[in-house]
Amino acid sequence: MILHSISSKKDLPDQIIEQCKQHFDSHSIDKNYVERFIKDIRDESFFLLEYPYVDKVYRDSYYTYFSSKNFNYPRDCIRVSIFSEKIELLDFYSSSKVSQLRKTYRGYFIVRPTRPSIFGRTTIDKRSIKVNDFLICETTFSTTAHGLKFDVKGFPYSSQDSETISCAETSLWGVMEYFSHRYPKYATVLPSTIIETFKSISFKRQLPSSGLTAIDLSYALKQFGFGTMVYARENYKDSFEGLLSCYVESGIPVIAAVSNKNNIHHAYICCGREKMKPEHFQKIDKSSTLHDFDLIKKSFIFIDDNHFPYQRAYLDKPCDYYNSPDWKQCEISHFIVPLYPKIYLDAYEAKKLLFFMVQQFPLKGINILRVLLSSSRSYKNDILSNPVLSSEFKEKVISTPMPKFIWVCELTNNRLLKQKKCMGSIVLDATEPNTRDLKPLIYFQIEDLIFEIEKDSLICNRLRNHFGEYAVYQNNLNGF
Amino acid sequence: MNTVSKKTNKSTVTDPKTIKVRNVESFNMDSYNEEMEKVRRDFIQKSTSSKKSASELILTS
Repeated sequence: MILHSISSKKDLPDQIIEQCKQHFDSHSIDKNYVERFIKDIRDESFFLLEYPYVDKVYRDSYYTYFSSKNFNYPRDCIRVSIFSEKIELLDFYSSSKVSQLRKTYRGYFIVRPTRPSIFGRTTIDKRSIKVNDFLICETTFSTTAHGLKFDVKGFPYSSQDSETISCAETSLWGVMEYFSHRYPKYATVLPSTIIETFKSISFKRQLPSSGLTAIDLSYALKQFGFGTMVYARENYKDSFEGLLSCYVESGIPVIAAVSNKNNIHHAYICCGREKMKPEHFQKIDKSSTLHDFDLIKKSFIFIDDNHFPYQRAYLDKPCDYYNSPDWKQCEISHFIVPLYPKIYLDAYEAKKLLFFMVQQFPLKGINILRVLLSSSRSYKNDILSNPVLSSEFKEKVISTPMPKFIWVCELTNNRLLKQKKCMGSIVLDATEPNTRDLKPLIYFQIEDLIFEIEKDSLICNRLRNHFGEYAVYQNNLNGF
Repeated sequence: MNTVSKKTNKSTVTDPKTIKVRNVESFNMDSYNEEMEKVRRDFIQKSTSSKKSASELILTS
């Protein structure tokens, strides 16, 4: 029989501990650990607890590993569904209350019998978090609670069980869980899939997990269908954080490797950033020097398997939300980008090309460049939906053949960014790594001028109407 | 010097006489190509070194 109970946030830690005792025979769950995990959830939230629940990720680990141990590990989990307001079990049986339940549904987390790290697969809507002024790569997950179907938007999370999945495997799983739910091209992976991926190249036993290297992560993502790139801080130096920011701005979650001198080596996912506010642009000098939007100081959002989802930190202090001084000293040494395999022009070369190109033109009033990747279909859709752009320009963009992915560079300044606007844009072909003679250039629009490459030469056309300033591209992270 | 594309001029672009070629001429393709050649070599070197250091770091915490 499936058991259900409802809890307020205040009573939730005791309920989880009690159910772990009852169902998992776990008698030493740390209440502080449970309280810390749920502390970021809004206090007015209510929770529905269900047992037994078959969680696909834990069940995979169970059959691959835990079931082969001498001591008994239960194979079922507890599922905790989150609602933004008070609910009652009877609400689920009243058809008039179903739509209200769906409006208040905010996701779920799984409690698994893997003490001490008991929190498994999780998807949480950022609206259920107390401070939620941030943007993330998010996708929709379909689920159920007490038999009723629900949808939740978020980024997938799980804590590591440290035996079948360490931080590295958890990050791989998180990235693949996101992409497989967003794009049909990619498949979901389970802990056993990850183990299988390394089977032929591993020179030692794979269970219990002893972690993976950054290059292993890159290899696995390549096996899962990506054209992976690895960036090291020591090689890219001052460009390093800007490149990471550029990929996040492009709506691509990246796996970051953090480490310090005291042997902490950790992997987690960077999947978003805080919303931009006028204060962010205050300190940028208004001189003619060109600034990179990616280097404007802002906090980023991390999916860290040692903490609750959506932790916030600056890229130069990426573990600042940890209590330990050792962890606080960590810095990002590498990051791994799961790129669509036909993106041949990477962010480093694209940005160098764009900055050099803009510097060659005497453009008035532009001091910030914002560079990002977009799919051409989303970009064209965005251009068509823009109320400011002229039909003539729309026709021009729509009738221009473009590859599946393009680099977009927005030309803007402090004043315009405060209004989420730009005054021109450059579009590059992301499938063209041959940068000679501006070959990747699709077009460069500034005011009423359009520059293009024809017969290996740069040519210029003038549009009939000058449409002025227009909204920056916001499709990648669903906002600015 | 006619710098206007006849192809793109069909339906969207007006009066070629009003086009300022000054902007186009100010773009020095030779110096751009030279710079991007350096960037390309630099990128290949950085990319290769990144793979080496990434294989030495075991992520477990």
